[in-house]
Amino acid sequence: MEIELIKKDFGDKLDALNELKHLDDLRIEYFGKKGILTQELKNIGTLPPEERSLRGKNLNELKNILNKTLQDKNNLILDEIMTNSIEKEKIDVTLPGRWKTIGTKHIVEQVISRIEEIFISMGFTVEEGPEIETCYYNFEALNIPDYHPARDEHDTFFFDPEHILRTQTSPVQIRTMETMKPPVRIIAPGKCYRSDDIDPSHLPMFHQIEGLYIDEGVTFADLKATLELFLTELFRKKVKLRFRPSYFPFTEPSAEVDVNCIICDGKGCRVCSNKGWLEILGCGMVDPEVYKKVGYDSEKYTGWAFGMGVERIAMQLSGIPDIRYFYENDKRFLCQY
Amino acid sequence: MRLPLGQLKKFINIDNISLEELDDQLTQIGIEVEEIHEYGKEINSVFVGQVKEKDKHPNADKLNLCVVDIGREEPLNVVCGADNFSIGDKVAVATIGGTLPGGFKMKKTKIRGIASEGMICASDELEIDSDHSGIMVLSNDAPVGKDFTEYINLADHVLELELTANRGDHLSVKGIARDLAAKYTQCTYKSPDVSDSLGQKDGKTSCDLEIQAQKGCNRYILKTISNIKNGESPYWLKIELGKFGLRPINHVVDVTNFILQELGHPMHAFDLDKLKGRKIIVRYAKDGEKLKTLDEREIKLDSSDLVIADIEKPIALAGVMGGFDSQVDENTKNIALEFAHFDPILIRKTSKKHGFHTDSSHRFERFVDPESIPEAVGRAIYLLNDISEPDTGYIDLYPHLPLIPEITLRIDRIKKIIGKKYPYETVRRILSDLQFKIIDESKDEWLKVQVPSFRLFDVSREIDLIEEIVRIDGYNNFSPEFARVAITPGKYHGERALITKIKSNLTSLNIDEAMTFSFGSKDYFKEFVPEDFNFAILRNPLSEEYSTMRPVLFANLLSAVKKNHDLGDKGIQFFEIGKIFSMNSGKFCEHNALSIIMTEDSMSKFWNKPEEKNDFYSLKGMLENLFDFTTEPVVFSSGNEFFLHPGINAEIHFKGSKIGFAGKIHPSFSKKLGFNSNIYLAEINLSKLSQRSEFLPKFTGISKFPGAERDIALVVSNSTPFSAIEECVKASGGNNLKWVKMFDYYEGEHVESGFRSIAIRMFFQSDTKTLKEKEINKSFQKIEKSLLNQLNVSKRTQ
Repeated sequence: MEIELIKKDFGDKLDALNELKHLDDLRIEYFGKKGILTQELKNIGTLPPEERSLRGKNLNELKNILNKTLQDKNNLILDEIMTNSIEKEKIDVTLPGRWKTIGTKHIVEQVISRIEEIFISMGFTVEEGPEIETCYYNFEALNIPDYHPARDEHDTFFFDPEHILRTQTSPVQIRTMETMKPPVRIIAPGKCYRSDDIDPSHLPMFHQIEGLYIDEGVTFADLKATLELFLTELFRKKVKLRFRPSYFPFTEPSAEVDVNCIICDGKGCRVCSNKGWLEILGCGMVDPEVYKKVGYDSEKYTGWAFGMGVERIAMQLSGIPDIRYFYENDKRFLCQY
Repeated sequence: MRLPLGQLKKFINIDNISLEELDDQLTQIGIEVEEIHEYGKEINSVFVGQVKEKDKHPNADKLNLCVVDIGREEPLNVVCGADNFSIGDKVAVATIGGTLPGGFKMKKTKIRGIASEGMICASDELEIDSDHSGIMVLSNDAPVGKDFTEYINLADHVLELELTANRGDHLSVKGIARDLAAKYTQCTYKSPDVSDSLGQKDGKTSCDLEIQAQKGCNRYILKTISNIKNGESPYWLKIELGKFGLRPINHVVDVTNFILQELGHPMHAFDLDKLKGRKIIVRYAKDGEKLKTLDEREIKLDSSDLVIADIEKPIALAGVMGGFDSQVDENTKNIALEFAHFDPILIRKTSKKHGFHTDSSHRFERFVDPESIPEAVGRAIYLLNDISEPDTGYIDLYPHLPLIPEITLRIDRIKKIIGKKYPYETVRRILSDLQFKIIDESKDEWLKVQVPSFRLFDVSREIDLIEEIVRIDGYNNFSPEFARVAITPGKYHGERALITKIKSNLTSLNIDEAMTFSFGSKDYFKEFVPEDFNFAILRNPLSEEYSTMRPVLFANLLSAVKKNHDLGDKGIQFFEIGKIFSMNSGKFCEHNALSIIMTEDSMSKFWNKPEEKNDFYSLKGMLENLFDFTTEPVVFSSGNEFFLHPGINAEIHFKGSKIGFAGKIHPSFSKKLGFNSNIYLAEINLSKLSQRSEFLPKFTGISKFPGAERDIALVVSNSTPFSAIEECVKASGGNNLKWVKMFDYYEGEHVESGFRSIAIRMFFQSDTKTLKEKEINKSFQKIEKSLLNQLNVSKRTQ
């Protein structure tokens, strides 16, 4: 058969198809064992020797061309299929996503961790102590003798005359100093208990963080510098501090520390009761009586201590109006943080 | 404590100082101003007037029509119901548009047909006292037209102070003024007006005094006053008491109350005619003696209570509260005034024991200056001058003189504590401004002082003087400066490191942290512990609901889960870490525990995936995942906690000892607690866990050679736990067995009852060569043989 005729017939048939299956049929029709082109190639042997070379060359060229055309058509159909399926696969990207949540740490834990992080970075160790304490560690060793009016501020839960729920984290100071020689640089977070009736600003259980630093040459000026650095880190902005003389039996001199209100920048707002200052912690220079109790030489060593209420700070930082939220464990509260 | 500014100004000349600055300066010396009240603010547009005309109201017999001059062009026509005044009297007139206490607004009204342009006020209407028997008639020299509250000193600022427990000397107007004067050196401190003389020590007194108690009463001055005309106090006194928050009672009592606020000296007045034997005895009570106190409570005394007694019985609880039967009333003619100094600890013990907290006990507990008692006596005589003539004598018994400490202050010690150098001269000046007596200033390096008698409670040591220096100089008057320190690494000690690690792991597994109270109801806790459990029980709890320290963590946590469940949130996964408590042979024990509770409703329901419910294996998987940091794996075995479902009940072991449990809550508990879905819970004792201490574990070689899997399906008796199969495979698998996993589980149709089908996959690989088919098969057959021989299992046939 004439080359051109084969080519034309093939082209007509190819144009008529548009499915991969038919394409394969066409391939077999031409290139299969009994295919048209296969037959033509087999027939070369029957030709006179002088014609064979030319016929062979032409047929092979034709074979390449047809193959190429077939391949192109194949690709075309594949492209079409892909285009169609892409069209079909279109989704609504605004439907909700599937996600794995992570849990939330309790807000108190988050505040404690943050404070621990800051102090650990300053070379403090984190210490612990029991929650059921003796009167000795909670009071006497901290220079709060029996029948001292300072005990009025510690409405205490008793188990027996000797054992109480600690009213402050300060006993950890004593327990640490008893087992360690200066330098002592610790913080001690933990639960404390006072028999306060439950109301928007009082709970019988709350958390404190205690800080203690004792060494040679530690001064009130160092306390100021450390607290300034700490609170600037905690609030993530430069804070202004105000130190007010106060009284804690285990420090002398003692101070209350106010920070300029982070909500209103000290201009006065609801959170700071229009005072421009927030009461943030109590602190002071460790009283010589305390050194005496733990056998430190108060002539050689000086040091400071501070204590702060965790819930109160969280309330101020986050604007929580009622302390009772902390232990009601309503997920809608817990998962806000 | 309430501090009226007008009272403060009597003692210290602070007219040039603004209220804001005063607030700030008081705060700076350690006297916290909590609030400033504008006293008398509610009274507005009340003026001093003079009655010009007074006629009967034509329509009412009991009403008067008055014309009152209040300094305006036109006098006011006022209808008045009282009749205790005459033409020419000065009165207080509330005018239209003004206000009175209680939010009362003055409006023009018609009374019985006649318009009234104001109101002539009675003292109760101005909240000066409770008298409504007539209108207030003012003194003749009251200036007509002047604002009434200004004229009578009712308008004032009252500072609400928060005082510290160590500064008993701050508990009076005088004490505050005295301390402030050390700060404001330009302002002079003035003593109060007192009577020139207390009388003569050996002069006449109408009552005898004896201190029988060896201890407890350090000083007692007794002053008697005869033929007193007791009655209402003058308006000024009533008004000042009002500013202190006190109600007037009668003149004598009002004077004692006023002096307590003004000078800080608790004093007491006895009606002499009500005493037996005209003698006052200070003694300890006899066991069983009784006393009816002023608040009409009958208290039972014992021999540790110091009392004031007549010759028969106690008439007052010393320093705490007077007796009902000896109290001064409006008919009292003769009085005995007590000015005493009682021991702080004794007063505190007694007042605590009997449940009292009075203005008097509050001050005695915080130390009252025994040396300035005579000033208070003089003040009382002065203030009672109008209604009495005191007897010529007085009795002053002073059995225990105070010990006045002398303290040496090293100048360089201040710098050592504070970090700032204070010059000698500054130190000296501040101490003498604070009325410390400088007794040795011969050396440059130190000085020696004597403590003033009013500071004996809080100053006895060098450090106390240092505090005084820096307090008066100002806490904000020196700069922050870091100490030079050797660098040491910060870190966690104790279990806190483990706890923070667990908290991070659990939150990454989508469990929320809850925190519950460490105490709860004993009846509730009893449900979860054996009958013989020894609870740590509070002696003075807020209520039964908070009486007992939690013996387990999950009990209170369950309540938290329940709460959210009831609010409609069904998918809860909570954990808590905290102390649990018990008693063990008389000792209190506490240790950290972890509890996890999850409801069966999945936290992750999605719109195009089938819902997955939590079951025991969700909890177990979470725990296995959680403890990836322990030195050894945690191991689960069948358990028998009574509050868990008997068949879904596991013990958790670590290093061979039990550290906790996990399982499903027993259906009966679940029902009792009000849950309508399955709850899974675990609790673990953290004190028994240990964390890997090394930073990086040892490297394990990674095989370069291909490995191959082999599967086996077994029919396993329900009594053979999977752990036994796993152990058997591991034990018989040889070195080339790398891991074994269960990949299919089935029970039900086609499997005999009491059995289940378990398919496991094993992976074989060598570290040194490519394993031949024959070698793998040999290992596999060995495992198969062990399983079939050692355990109650058979190969699954189809």
